[in-house]
Amino acid sequence: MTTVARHLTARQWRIVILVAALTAIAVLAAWGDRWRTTWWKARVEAAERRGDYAAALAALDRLPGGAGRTWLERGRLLRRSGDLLAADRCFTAALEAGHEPTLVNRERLLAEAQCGDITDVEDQVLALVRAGGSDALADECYAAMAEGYVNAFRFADAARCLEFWQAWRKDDPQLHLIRGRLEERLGHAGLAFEAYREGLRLAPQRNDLRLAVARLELDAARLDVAAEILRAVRRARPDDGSAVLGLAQCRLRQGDVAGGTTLIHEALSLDLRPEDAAVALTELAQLALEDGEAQRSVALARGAVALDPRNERCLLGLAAGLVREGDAAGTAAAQSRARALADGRRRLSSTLMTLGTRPDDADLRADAGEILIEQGFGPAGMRWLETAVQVDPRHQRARRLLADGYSGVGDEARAAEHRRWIEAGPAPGAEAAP
Amino acid sequence: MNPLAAVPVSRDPLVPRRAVGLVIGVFAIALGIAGCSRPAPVPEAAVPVPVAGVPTAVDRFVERAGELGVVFTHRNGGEADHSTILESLGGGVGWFDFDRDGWIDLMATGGGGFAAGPAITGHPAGLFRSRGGRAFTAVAGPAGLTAADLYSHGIAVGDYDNDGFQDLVVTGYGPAQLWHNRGDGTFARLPAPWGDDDRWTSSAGWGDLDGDGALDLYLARYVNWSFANHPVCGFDRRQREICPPRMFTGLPDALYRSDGAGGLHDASADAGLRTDGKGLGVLLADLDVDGDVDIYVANDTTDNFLYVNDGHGRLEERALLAGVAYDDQGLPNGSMGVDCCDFNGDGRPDLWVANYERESFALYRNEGRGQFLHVSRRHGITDLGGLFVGFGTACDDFDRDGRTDIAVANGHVIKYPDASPRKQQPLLLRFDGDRFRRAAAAPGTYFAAVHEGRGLAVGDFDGDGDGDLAISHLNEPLAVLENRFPAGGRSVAVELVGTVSNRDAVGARVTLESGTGSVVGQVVGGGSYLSHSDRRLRLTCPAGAGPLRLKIDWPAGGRQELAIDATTDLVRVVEQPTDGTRVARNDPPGSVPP
Repeated sequence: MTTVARHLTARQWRIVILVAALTAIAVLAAWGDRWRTTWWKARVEAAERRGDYAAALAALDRLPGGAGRTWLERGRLLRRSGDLLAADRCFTAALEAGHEPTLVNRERLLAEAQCGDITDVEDQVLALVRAGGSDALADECYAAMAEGYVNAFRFADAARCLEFWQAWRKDDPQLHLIRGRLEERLGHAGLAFEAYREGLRLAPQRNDLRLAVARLELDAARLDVAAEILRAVRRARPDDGSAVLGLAQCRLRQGDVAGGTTLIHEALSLDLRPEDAAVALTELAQLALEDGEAQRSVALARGAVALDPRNERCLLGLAAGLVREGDAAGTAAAQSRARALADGRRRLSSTLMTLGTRPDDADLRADAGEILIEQGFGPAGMRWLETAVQVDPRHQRARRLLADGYSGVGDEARAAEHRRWIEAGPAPGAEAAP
Repeated sequence: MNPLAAVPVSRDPLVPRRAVGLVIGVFAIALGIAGCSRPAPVPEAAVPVPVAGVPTAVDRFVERAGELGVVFTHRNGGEADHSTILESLGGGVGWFDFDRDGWIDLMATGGGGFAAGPAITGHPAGLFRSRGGRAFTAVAGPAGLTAADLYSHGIAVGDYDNDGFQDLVVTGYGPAQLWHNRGDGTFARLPAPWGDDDRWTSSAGWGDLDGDGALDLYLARYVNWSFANHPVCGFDRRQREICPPRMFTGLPDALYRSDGAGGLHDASADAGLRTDGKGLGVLLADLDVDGDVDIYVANDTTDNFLYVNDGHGRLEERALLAGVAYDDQGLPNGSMGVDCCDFNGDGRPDLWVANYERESFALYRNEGRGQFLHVSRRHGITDLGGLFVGFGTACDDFDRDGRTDIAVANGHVIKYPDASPRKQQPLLLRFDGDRFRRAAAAPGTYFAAVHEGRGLAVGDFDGDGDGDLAISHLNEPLAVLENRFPAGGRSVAVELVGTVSNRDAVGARVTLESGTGSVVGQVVGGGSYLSHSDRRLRLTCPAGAGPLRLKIDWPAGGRQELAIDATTDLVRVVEQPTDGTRVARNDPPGSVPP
């Protein structure tokens, strides 16, 4: 070969190079799409494994293929990330782009389960599991159901679902992420921490697990540990607002007011969930108070409360500013709302505990539903009320709340049905509900 | 592998009904303690001792209990292995001059244990009479403090009958004890106004709430634990653990008002006390600087209380409004110890609260107009980390540099903690004008070692002008720490004797003015945790601050001023009635009317 090359003239060399280039172009034209697809698909999967849904979605945009399929995949990723509204829009777009409806409907089913509307769809989700699809599909089903039970405050079912899932597949980090969220809802930070740590052990690059661990470390005042984790997340995702906010809180607790403030502003310039943005504004409100700027503090705290009206800390921050402004009524209202939230949480815990010993107590089921509605978890509350009237169809308070609830969302037919029960009156011998 | 056969959820439309059984289990765990999550105890040696903050100086406290003759141990009965929450509280210490010889004496509660039955028993208290500040003699027996029928926790010292000799209330599990100081070196146990009410009391504090010149008593109560209400706690039930306070219902605190003639009567209902606390620490002080004594209660896992006094003894609970009910996250803390101090020198008393692990100790800056702001993170407190379980605590200018320092006794409450060890280092925090920084401890010193600390009290037992410490522990000898910081400034110790005001002068504000500014102190009731610090104030101005002047604002409303000459380091001030009348009280020898 070397001898041949030595004897080629310049003109012959040019011809060889031209032929080689044309061959390369032909190969690329024939196989390029496939390579590109493989490459970007791998990127999407890798990002999803890391729990980095933003990166997965970005990689998805580079993936060639039909619009319908892309919309479906986009919707699935958004569903997994918890953005169910955006996911639903993608499913609609997938159908409009002509995608085959079976897969789209399956995703919609999982989304419905995941958001907490699981009672209506759990049979169908279980049928999907039983149908013997892929392991990945079974994982998706279990994940959607477990999250759905957590969101519906059916904690025992969530625990049972996770146990079954874990018995089959111990090494799914998503399972541990959901278990951690369940334990947090139960108010048990220690067990949540263990679950997240286990998930992180299985998938050290998962940023959602890292962030969850960092948040608990921050809550536990292990500032150095939290900061180290958050810095790792930030290196992987420089535009992650939650990580920047966490770093800001570390700085503030370390007494670095200037550094912390800068990071909060940086976090607010990034893409933050409303709950996180509310926390960021509350931090700024507190700093303003410390500097004696009550008026500015109140403005910031009002913004925080608007973003997350169920956050007690935001409400108390607002109250702290208002009291310094001399607004006694506003202070009382904010404090009263904060107290109601705290009381509601305590009452819910107590009610759910008591239900363990009195599962047929419709009053307790109605209590749980009522508290959840008061706390802003309307759909979950309504579902608990439905169970109350299944135990006692003539439960007046539950019927009243259900009628009001359905009326409030414009479902007059169902509201009317509950009102008919109210008109029928309580069961003989039953006392009128308060 | 697809788990086709495994159906993980209930199919019943009433899924919650079928599933709620699990809720109990899950909630039982959820309501458990953090320590439940790991079954094995944390070996002391294997756990890194909590270290946080930037070391600033070597502490100069020297542990001298043994050589001084103070040999005493508070016992909690843990060896019986009942794992009761009763064992977690520990005991208090008190510095006070019970024999009025000018040298403060030391008292500590004995705790208790468990006999067969199981019955709850008590250990006698320890009382140590100072021999000129150079040694102590155990005198509990001769003084009559031999009662062992109370599983004891706390000490509250106050001259409630204004006879010049300080009396005692000892709290614990069982009827609290009221001891009258006879003035001859002995105490007589009196029938208490609460009779045989045996609800569990923790800290107590004395203060004149209604301005009648006699001390009233606030009694904090903890929770409704008993052997009849003794749930099993612990990870997997394999290792029984002490249950957390959340497992129990809080008991209502009590307020006893003095009738001015040495009698006390229950005024709890009239005072409108909240009933949802789990009280562990009590402080009576004029927190809003309006001339009357307010009450702050540190509760365990529930809101802290602030009872604001309207000047006539009527109390209004305003902790939430004042910003001292919760921490800066809007959460109630596991609060234990409490004190107040003017750390930023604005003349207003700020609040300091020692809390549970994973929480920050709370520094509430007094903003005036009854408002406080949680400023722990701004002043370096959160930077300490959340590994400490803080109990007894006191603010004092230990190094006499004119700035506030804080001492905290730490130690865990459960047997198998997972986040931080049972035995923990105590803390000495020194304020640098901006941040509190943890003082590094020299190896081999008390502050470098780990303890299960509980009660803590400050008093200048050796009369050298600085604040020494006494710290009690669980099942470990009481520590007496002599302060050997070199004086960084000019200190004056002030002893107040009320005549129109209560004799102990609780609520009196003292201002030491110098050419460079002023330092404000206040005589308080209660404070710390289960303990009593000597009521003499020590105020320090920077060295070379020029002529000093002392101003005393008495609880009864009068103000006295006097100049302090260059050689005076201890002043006794007897209240001079503003209307010229003199109230006959048993003033101490050597009183110095201004």
